[in-house]
Amino acid sequence: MRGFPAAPTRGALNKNEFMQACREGGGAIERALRQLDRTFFATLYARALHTLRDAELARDLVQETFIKVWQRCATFEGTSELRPWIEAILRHTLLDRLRRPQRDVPFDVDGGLSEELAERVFELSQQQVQRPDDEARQHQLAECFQRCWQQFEEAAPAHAAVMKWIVEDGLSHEQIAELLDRTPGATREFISQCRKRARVYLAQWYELAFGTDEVT
Amino acid sequence: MSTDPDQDWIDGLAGRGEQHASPAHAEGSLLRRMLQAQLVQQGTAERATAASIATPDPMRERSLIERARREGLLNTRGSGRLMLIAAAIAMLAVGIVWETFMRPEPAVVREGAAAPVQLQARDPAALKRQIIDELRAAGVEATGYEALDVQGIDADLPQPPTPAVRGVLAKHGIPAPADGVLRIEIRESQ
Repeated sequence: MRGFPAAPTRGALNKNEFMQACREGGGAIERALRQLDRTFFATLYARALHTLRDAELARDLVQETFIKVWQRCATFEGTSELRPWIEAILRHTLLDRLRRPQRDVPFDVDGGLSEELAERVFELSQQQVQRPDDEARQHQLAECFQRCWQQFEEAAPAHAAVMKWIVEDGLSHEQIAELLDRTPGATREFISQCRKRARVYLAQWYELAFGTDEVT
Repeated sequence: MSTDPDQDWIDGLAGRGEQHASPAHAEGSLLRRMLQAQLVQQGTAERATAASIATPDPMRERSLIERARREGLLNTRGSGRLMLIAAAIAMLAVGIVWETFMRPEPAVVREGAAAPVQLQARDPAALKRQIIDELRAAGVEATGYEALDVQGIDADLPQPPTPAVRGVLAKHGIPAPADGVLRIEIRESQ
């Protein structure tokens, strides 16, 4: 998980204190919750805000994450650091939230990338041809990708978020299934949908980057 | 290279497997490169956002503690005896709430310096949104929350309150808090 550099926060909560508070309960819980907020709120909020693009929703979601952290504290075994464990809970919570108002945008079952264009992508990757080779075109392509990706994020936010997390952490099939809380079969279906939907929304970028007069 | 293009694609996206193993893998790898560049930019933006967040924030912490309390987190752990005491307190609280609702009450009741202002409305959620919008328009950072039967608002008001803030408070019959910490609870009118 990419995370943030560990910022020196006064009164920061470490995993031993967290586990101790979990065992003790009572007033220790309240202190631990305050420390959780002081230690992790800013970074989790920044991440949630980037995904949700709504300050109030992001604040609420981080608070919900802290509640879940406490509800699950007994399952934290201390084998990893606290931050990645909490960030994983944030991801679950984000996915739950992103799935709620799911707009099911119809898409071409075969994806938006023609077979010819897919072949072209493959050929170029084999030849290790660096295209485009000038700065202006690189910039144009980056802008096109940004625009297409934003449309993808708006139409299929959960799929886009999971794809970024896969890039970020190199998630395995099992880890994706755990994140989605789905069976292996349902996870395969989700991954297939990610690919198909991305092809539809990024088709313009594929064309710009790899299309030729012959294939377009 | 597997026989499953989707698996190849996800491997390419995750940075696993042999480069150029298949068209699907190449496609995933390509996407990975673009997304990695985007993640670098995103990381910079997130760090800037995180640096702008006030920590500690007593208001935010109090809101978290209250939510934990509403969720029953602060009462559910501990020994069986504590659980019984908690249950007894909960029953007492239910009784008090019941009594409170049985009596006619004014639209606004200030119960004390630290107690939330109590409002009633036909549509508490709509009133909450309206007050939050008005406070924000007046330059106040207000946060809303929702419990079982209560819509809540927390806000730190400028001291002394600006005319715009005073106008919002007066409009809804809310007394200005002496310490600048505004807490409002809105319930459905009986």
